[in-house]
Amino acid sequence: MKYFKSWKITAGVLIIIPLLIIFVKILYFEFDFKNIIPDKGYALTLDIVASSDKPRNIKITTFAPMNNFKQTVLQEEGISDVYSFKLNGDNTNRAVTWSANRISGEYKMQYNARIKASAVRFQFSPETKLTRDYPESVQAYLGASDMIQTNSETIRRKMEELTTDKFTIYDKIKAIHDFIMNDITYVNFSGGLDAESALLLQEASCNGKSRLYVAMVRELGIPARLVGGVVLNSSPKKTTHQWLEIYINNQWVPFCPTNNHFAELPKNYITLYYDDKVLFNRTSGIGFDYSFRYENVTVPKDDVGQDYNNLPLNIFSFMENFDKFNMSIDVFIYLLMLPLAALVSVILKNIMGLETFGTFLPILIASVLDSTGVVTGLLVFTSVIIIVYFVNVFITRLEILYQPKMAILLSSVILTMLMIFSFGIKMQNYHLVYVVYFPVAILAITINRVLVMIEESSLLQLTKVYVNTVIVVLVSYYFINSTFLQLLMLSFPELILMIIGLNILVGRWAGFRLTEFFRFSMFYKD
Amino acid sequence: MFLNILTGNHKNILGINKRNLHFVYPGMKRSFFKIADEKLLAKELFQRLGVPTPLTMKVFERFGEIRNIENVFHGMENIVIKPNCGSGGFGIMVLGKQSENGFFDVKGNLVTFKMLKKHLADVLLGVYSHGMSDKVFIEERIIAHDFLRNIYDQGLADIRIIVYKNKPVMGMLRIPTSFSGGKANLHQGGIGIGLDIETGITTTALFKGSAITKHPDSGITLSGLQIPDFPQLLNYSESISREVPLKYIGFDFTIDQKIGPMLIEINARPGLAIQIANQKGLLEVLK
Repeated sequence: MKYFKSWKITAGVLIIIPLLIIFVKILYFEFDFKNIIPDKGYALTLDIVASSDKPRNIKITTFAPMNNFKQTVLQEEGISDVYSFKLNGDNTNRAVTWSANRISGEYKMQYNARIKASAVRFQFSPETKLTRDYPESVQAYLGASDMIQTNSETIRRKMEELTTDKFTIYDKIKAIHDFIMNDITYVNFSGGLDAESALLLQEASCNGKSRLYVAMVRELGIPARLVGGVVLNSSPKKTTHQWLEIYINNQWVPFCPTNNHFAELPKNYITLYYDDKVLFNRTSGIGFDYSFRYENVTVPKDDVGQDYNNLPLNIFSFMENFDKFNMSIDVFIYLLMLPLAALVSVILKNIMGLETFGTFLPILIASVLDSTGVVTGLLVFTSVIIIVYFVNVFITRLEILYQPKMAILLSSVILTMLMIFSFGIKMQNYHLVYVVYFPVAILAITINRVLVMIEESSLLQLTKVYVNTVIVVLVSYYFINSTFLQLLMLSFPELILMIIGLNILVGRWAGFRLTEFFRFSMFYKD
Repeated sequence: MFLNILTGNHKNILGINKRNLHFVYPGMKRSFFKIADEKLLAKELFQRLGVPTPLTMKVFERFGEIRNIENVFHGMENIVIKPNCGSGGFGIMVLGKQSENGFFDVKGNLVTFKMLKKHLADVLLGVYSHGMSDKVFIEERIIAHDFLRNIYDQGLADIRIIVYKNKPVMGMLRIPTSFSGGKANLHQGGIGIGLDIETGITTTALFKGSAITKHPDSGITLSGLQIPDFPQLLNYSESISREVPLKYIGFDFTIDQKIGPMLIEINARPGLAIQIANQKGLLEVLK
């Protein structure tokens, strides 16, 4: 009974201290708790397949998502095994180029980006007064082009008819907007349609509507430009979208006459380029196909970094010093999340009763999955077990000593990984290529654990432990990669004390493990 | 019921968390486990207290000693090779008659001296003791009592007695089956039979998670059997437990045709399946 008292007090103190520190941070240092609730964003992928029946120099150009008022690109990468990837340009119109010399056959390319996006709505009302004082760069957006015929008599007459009885700039633009939305029938043309034809045909797709809109606004003497992008509403999709922006009081304000967005855009409009451009430029005569796909992801708020940097009570306030050593914040996130993941695996073992390969192995594997991808990481783990099992059967017959046996197993596993890697390249399955990101140290621990288990238990037991391990890996992975929990731990690293306290509680818990409930179930059957 | 599951008191069943927290760990020092982890140390104690245990014929501690094992094994037969710190029955090799190149094992397969040497080296290297270097010893092979051989004559049956605070509280007879390959462990397919701890008469039998009445291979009825020399077996458990600083101990006995109950080893963390075989929760008797 004497132990009883002390563990409760120890756990209680460890749990209360961090709560007090957090309380002080929020109350006296004005830490904004809202900042650690992450935003929603997208993981966008562009897949391209290009083929050529004879060797030639191939070049494919497109646009990567830009950074603007409604979207920020957080991470991006281009992947291809034969094409070289290049990303040019600043914030607007960032050109992506894939090129290869004297190439034949079919190859895949991929562009991945993590994008933080938000819906926007601009202050634009009948009271808005227009200042007609445009910088030189913007004045270019008043002129005519082949597709946007500002000089067209037809367009000018229609514009005047729509706007003569309107007196504010708001009403004039609204009249044009409503006309294009309601009176120009939407037709899904595959090609581009110029402004004048759109007006004459009284029907157009998004690009014809937007061009006519731009032409009419320019006719009013207000700069306007086309915007090209993709609306993330289904996945995968090939259809791209065009809308426009009007220069109102020193800022570009978005409008979409196709889906009726007036001085606003929803979150899922991803901007790829400005002006009247074509999304893909490519060497002629090649086979070419593309598609976009996306997933919803969570991303940190913009100013959250600022917030935990400036906090006096936070050990990461010294982050600027870490910067000098060229350290990434990811290192700290990784370290901070491991104690949490360990607590999760302890709960799964001592309360749920899931036996796994070692206590820490599942969370080590879970921490790898972010760089390898979930499927690829679990594929490596699964193949380690299969390889160790079968190679062990074979080398046991050779009757060799323990240490060389371990070395043989490690070599066999690495050989297998290299084969998966080459297979991934060959099949152009770029998920498989990430097998090489699986750290060798964790691989070696896995081999060791699996071998002990193989020698001590039946195949059935091994399978059970494997399934349990995969469950614990996936649950830990979810915790490690939760943006909210990452920001919570970064903002309040003192929570590690609470984790220690919770471990004490689990460590003193004498209740049934969930699996025992089933194991002893025949007691209930009377 | 839900509260009982949370506190671990449901139907008086002892769960693994409670076993470790309330029965294995309290007042426990790591060094106390030594006697349960090292078989040679335990056997010394058994001998000192006059409790019969299989005779240790030879101990190997260094690689040099296994160089000329043909000489060491000269004239031996019916022996068992055991790792000092092994657990769960792993690394144990049972050998019968000797031939020119080695021994015949229980299934009649030849185990050559070369294979034997490799096995001894494996044990010394720690293959069966989680990588820690180990000792390995040769022990005489017990000839099971007719009582046990009548039930099933392959492998070696054993009797597990749980002792708490020097008092035997629960017992179980474990019988191998053809399914378990001669092993008596329940999770490997052995039969667990509950015992009346006062009299040593068998009660309910359990095989692969369900109740049975007859041995699946021999067809012998498994309940109502009297374990021979049972009072003696209980005496041995009590006298050893008084000498060991553990409160909660599992004893593994077998019964030799001539000598009677023999103590094989003791276990500081005995398994919980004994409750299923007895259809009785341990918390009922651990008072």
